[in-house]
Amino acid sequence: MADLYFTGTAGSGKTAIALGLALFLQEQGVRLGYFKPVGNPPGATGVEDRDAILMREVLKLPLEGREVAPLALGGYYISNYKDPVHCRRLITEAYAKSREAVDAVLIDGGAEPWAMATFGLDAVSLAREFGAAMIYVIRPLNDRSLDEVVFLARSAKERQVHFAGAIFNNVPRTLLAKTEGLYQEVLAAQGVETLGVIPSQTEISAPTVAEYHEALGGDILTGEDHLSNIVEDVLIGAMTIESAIAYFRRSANKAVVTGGDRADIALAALETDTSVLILTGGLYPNVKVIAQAQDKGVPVILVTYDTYHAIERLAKVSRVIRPDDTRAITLARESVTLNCNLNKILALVRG
Amino acid sequence: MDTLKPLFRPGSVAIVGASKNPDKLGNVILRNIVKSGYGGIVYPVNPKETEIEGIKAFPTVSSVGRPVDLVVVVVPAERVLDVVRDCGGAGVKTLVVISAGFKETGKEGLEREKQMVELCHGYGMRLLGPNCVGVMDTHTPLNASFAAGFPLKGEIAFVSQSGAMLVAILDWSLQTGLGFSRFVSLGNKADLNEADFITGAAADENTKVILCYIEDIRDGPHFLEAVERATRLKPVIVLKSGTSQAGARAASSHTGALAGSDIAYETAFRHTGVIRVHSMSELFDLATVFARQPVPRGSRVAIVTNAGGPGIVATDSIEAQGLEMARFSRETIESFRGELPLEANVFNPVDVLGDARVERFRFALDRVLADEGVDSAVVLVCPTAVSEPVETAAAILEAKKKYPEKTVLGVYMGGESLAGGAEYLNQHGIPCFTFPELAVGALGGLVAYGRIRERPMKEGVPAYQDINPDVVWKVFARVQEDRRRTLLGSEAARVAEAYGIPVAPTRLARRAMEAVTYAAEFGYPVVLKVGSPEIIHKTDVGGVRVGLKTPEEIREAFWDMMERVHQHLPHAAIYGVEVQKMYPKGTELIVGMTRDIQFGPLIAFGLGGIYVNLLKDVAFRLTWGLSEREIRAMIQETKAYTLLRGYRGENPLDIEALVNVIGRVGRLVTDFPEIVEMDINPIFAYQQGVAALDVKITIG
Repeated sequence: MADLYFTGTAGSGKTAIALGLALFLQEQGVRLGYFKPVGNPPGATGVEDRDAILMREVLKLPLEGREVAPLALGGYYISNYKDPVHCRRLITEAYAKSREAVDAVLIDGGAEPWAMATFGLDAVSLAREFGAAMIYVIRPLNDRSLDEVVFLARSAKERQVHFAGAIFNNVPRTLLAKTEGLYQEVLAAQGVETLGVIPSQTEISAPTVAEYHEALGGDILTGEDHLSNIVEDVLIGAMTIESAIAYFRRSANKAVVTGGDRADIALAALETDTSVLILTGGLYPNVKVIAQAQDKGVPVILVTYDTYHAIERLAKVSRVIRPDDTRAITLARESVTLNCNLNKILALVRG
Repeated sequence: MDTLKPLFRPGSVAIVGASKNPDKLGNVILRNIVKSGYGGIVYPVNPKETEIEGIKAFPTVSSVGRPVDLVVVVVPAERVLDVVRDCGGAGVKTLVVISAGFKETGKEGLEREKQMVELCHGYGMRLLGPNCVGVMDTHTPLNASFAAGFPLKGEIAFVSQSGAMLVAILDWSLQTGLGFSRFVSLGNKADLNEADFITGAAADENTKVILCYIEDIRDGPHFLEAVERATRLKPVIVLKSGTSQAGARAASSHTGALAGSDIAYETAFRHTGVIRVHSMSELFDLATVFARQPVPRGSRVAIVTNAGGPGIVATDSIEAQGLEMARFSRETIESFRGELPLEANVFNPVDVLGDARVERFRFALDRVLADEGVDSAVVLVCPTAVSEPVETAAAILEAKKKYPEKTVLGVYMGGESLAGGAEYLNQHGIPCFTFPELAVGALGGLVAYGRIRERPMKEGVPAYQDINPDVVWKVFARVQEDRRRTLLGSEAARVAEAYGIPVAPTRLARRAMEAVTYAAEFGYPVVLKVGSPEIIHKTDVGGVRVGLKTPEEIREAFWDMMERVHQHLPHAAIYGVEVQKMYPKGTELIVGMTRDIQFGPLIAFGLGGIYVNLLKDVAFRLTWGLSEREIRAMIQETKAYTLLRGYRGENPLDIEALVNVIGRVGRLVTDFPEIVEMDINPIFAYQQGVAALDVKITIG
């Protein structure tokens, strides 16, 4: 049986798709492994690649963390690892280990298809080395997004890598019709098959308060039980109270970032659909604000730095599916089975 | 009244936490109850004592073994819940929880407060507080509070959210001689709130005027209903703090409740006939005149003075307050001509001149009050070599007695030399002020109340037969499916249309071709607007093109717009482009709605266009009581009304069509509580009909 290599840009939802497909393939009797040659560096609180932790637990793989994800793609990886040959050996050994006693391995690509290309460890090079079929996961934002797929498909083919097709993931409602029509047609004309179109589902794509807390650090003043609230939008509360309500009302499931001394803004946010209050400047709010937040089930995170820095940190937050998040895992499985060409994918694996 | 009877007129009172230690509140309250002359039975409750202040003590309320109407609780917060259970079991009717340590202290306190309220409701007990000073009634008499002192008997009820304010006013009133019927400290308002006490005071035979100091309102609809009824019986005067931006922030922090929009408060007060004041001194000036003087029949005021300058100042204030200077009858003027010195002013303000002694004042005031064209009189006295302040005061009192239905106020403008006269007036029921504008301000309140009392009965939002709520449901369901909060222009137009609001036809086109089809349907020229719920200021990002006359122009504008908007806002979700039939320019107006947290939908109407922010020509109404009559009154309040009626020879515009639109907006937002914000900006008014050009709706 053949391995599948998922690649795509950061935040395209590769792991959620790999997860959904893995569960499906297991049900079909495929003994499945998971491998992430180029992992993410640990976050502010984490220790190893979160996707690797998730897949290892869900697939019950008897492997160490560094066997599932041997390398981490940091901003200083060249200085840090120095030796491309050593890196390649780590990958080859870990891959061999993850191939033991399974029929096929789902290989999860790095943050971008070109990650570690300097060391010759980019998606196309590795897929070629492992003889894996490549699937590109794309999150369409506009017409330009299509260029990613076409370009990569062409590069893959030129290097005799089996480019199996593209999965549109996390497709915004506004682009759904266009994706199912025009985009699929355009890709087909370029010889790229569409293996699935998965509409945006905030329950699995939007980050939760827990991820925000990981990115921000800081103290949780209340709402520890509601860290799984999803966050779809981030608003800054720095306006007059009269305009705040109308502004907050336009947005659902939001994080509101404001100074700890702005009790009025905090209370206005709590009157609307807010997932988390992030109070900045290390200003401990009035106890009544915390009591209100508790009453409404809204977590309050207090950070010491200012609003600008908080926003900067939030820009990079993306959703991590945790092994105990059974709801998200079920949803990932459902959205893959409902929206992907499963026969085709199964056939790919069975070779 | 019945619910509050056990609070103000209990047959028996227990004090849980009564103490022998004179420094403890439990002792102060017990002594206050006894000292106030309370005639019912008092039960100190303290498990460690057998007797306190010479009264037999009980270990618990239930151990009293006889019915207890009112229980005052002053034990530490942690023990309050047990006390509440004990009281509930013993059949107590009402609790006053003085103890602090509830919502105001944070999470745990909030939890405790909730449990307490739940327990009270379970037992059918009412609760004042917690975290309050207590309650007083001078007619019972009962002082179940820890305030130092007991107010003089009077006819003013004072309900205060601030305990400190209450205690300070009490102290001040003892010095000034102002009497009260009731004092209520609201505390955290966990159960009983301002609305309950306003209703209670309105029914209380000993109360003539109701004063409130509030920082927030607990339950908007309850307040509106209670005050609407109360103000038809008695004046309700409210000082609401936290009106400024900074004040609102301070209030939020202090009460832990969102201050809410001041416009909504202002509108709610006006709707329900509340007289709103903005300072403590105004609050008590008004209270004093209401307690002591009748509400005048009308707004015509006469001034009698011995000084020209102050007379003119008073005249200015009268106009500024919206009152009228009375015009005297010929008989009155003739009699002045006959009796007053030649140089005296015989018209209003009547100037009896600086050499006037008491006789001239007496004569002039008598004539003025006898005049049918005078509803109230202000007597303005300045110190002169011959002035007789006390004698003049006695003459004023005499005249007042002769014409009891007319309102008479004194202004003794001066200090030391007039103090005796001013005091005489105040002691004999004629409010006396130091400066004319204060007297006129208070008079303004009295006159305003006259109108409030006579106002027509409240009516509801009009009902319409030709509405289609199903269409609205369907649109909202789709928007919710998209996880959106704001409607696209085309969706909002459909919603408005379903409620019979005349809207310029608007459709969403996903492709240029579609846009051309819609344009053919509507007829050229058309307007294109970018279809995105996230973009509020479409013009700023190149998202609006007007006056498109051909299919080519539409196609070109369509793609140009998509690219431009994408350049400005690369992450905005764009559904396509909305095509709208282009309408001829009319008078630009705005109709808006924001759902206020306390009072529900607040409707705004005003002039639109580019000067909207400059002119701020907007009138507001709550949908609570938004009848067609109120809608017309609302339109008439604006400058836009002058335009609508036909300014300087222009043809009048269709005001009835506008009334209809506002009524239908009121109906729509009443039927659909999920609409939290709505804006029609602009709506064009024509000589025949109106057309909504841009409708925005946010749902919650």
